[in-house]
Amino acid sequence: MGFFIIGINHKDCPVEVRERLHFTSQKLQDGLAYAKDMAQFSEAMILSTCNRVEFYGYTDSEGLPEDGFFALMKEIHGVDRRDFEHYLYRYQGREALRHLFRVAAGLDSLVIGENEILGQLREAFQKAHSAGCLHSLLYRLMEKALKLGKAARTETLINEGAVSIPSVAVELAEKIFGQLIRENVMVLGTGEMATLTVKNLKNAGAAIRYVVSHSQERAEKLAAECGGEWVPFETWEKKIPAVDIFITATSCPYPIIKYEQVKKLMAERHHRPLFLIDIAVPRNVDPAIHQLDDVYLYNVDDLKSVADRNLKHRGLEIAKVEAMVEKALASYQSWLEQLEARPTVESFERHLDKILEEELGEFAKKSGIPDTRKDELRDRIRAKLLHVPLTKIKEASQNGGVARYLHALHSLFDLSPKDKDQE
Amino acid sequence: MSLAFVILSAGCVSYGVAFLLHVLSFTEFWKRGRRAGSVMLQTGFLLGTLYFLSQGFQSGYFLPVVNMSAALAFFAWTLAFVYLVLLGKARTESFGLFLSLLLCILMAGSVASFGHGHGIQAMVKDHPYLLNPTFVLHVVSAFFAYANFAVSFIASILYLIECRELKKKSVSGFYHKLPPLERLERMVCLPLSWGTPLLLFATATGLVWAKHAFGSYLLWDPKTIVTLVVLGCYLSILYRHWVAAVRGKEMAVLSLIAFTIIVVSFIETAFLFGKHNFL
Repeated sequence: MGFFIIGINHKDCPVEVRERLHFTSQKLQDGLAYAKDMAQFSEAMILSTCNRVEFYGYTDSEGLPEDGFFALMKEIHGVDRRDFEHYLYRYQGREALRHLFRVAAGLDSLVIGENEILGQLREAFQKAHSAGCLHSLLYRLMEKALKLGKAARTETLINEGAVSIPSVAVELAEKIFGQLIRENVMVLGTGEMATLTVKNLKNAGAAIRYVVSHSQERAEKLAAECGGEWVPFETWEKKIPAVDIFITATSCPYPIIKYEQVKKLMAERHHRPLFLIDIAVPRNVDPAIHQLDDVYLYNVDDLKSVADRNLKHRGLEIAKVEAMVEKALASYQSWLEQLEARPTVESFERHLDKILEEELGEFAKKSGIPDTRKDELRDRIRAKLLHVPLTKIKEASQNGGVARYLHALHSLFDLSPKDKDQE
Repeated sequence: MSLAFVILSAGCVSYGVAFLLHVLSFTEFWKRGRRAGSVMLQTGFLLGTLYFLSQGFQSGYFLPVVNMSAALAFFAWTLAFVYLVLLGKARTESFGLFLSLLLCILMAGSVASFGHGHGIQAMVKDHPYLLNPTFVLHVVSAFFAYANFAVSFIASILYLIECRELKKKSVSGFYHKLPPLERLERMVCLPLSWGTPLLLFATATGLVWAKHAFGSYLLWDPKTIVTLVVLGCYLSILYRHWVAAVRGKEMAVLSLIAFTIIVVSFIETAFLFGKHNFL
């Protein structure tokens, strides 16, 4: 049957089911070991992320080896097939290949073009390889998929621009300050969005200096996670001159950062740029502050609109990446068809060699030409006879028409079963 | 057709190709265009170097200001030197795009005016005081100073464009291509801090040479006066940057204004009387 995929993803399957089917590191090892021992799978790989669980495999059996897959899920997760069967999608052959390439290129992701999936796919590939579940076909296929995923991200704009509010904040900070290595961050409030933004900034290299909150406990928890110190709400203003990136996310119903205050501050900072991220609703920062030179104020709507525009830009690149997927698909199928054609071609070559050896041997004996001359003549005739059919087979492998040529070879030259047995 | 003309034309073509490749990269038609464009910029720079070496060997003198063609080619060469050698690590796609266009225009002007005006031999014969080493130092340091100011000027334009984009909160394709503000700010300030001492040195050597050639330190021609004004401007900008620690948009605006004065001074040099309108 060949290559197949069975899986679930974020599009149809609810998170409650996905989390039950998620493979932890240990479960993944067990799952791969189980798949390796199953006769139904000649090769296997499992990709498990927060958005998808997919089983990739090669099988020699006639139909889709669903039973093996359900048995594996039952064994590893203890989940009955009835609990998730209706969320499953199944691909085989060309459609399966296309799906894998689309996953690698980020076209099947929740956020189009996201980079994480490529790393997750690479990790799944390495783990399956270490577990001994991969052989030539799936190995070559995964190499191709990873190469395509990389090319899609470097040769198109599919992953350009941040598309979530915290990552937009980081992207803007990097646009203002360059690489975040010295920039000091202060956060007012410890809400979910503020925490996420702080974590993203820290991961990008910024130094979290001050966490301002009425709740010492929550502030210290965040400070322990991301660095920095707790500052009581009453005294945060004293710390602001040292800050380059300022996040506000309090529930205060009026602006707590005023125009005059920042104007004075900018003079003290000698117009060193200041980035204010106002995630709060109602807003915590006076909007007029954005008019000051070297001050960049973004509220939650601004961040969201940047994210939306970036997402729209990514959408414009989809056609380009789809074309890359189709090209990779054709290239892999061509390789696969050439591989499948090899036994027949070898059989044909043996058939030809046999005739040439018999006829030329007799001719050489009668005419008395030396063996070297005979071999030279044989090689030349062989090369000339094989050139056109082999070229045609190679060409046909690029558009999926190899089978009829192989069939013709078998019929026309009556390639014997003995040849097939030798294969 | 002389060898010098061929080299000069090849340099012009290299910069033109570099510009086209940068455009292709910028418009996403060919993502690798930036790297190829950078190679073509370097090729243009090497051809420029070859041109001046061949000119020097041919005439025995190094005087890149005897005519308009040589002056434009030398200014293009100094600009490329500042960008490729001094600011090598700070190179960016958007900057390369602007600079390759400017270099192409300068070199096209140089090729178009090739063969017009005075030859080196004739110039030296009529004005032997041009061979004074102080004059060569004056010319070279002045050109390098102006090249630095031009680089700072381009960086200022990019800085202000990016600043505007960030203020508008709009994400255009151009915005994604611009380097971070912090890097642009460095490209505004660094050339200023190299260019200003060079201009000071050029002014000092110019005064010494004027005394030697004409018997007076100050010639009081329009170019000299404007140069003193420009020097004053750049010194005050550097003072604000180093002492008052001013940075950001103000530095970009100041650099822009000061370079505009330089451009005006060159235009008036071309039309007014004085010792500097020999081109």
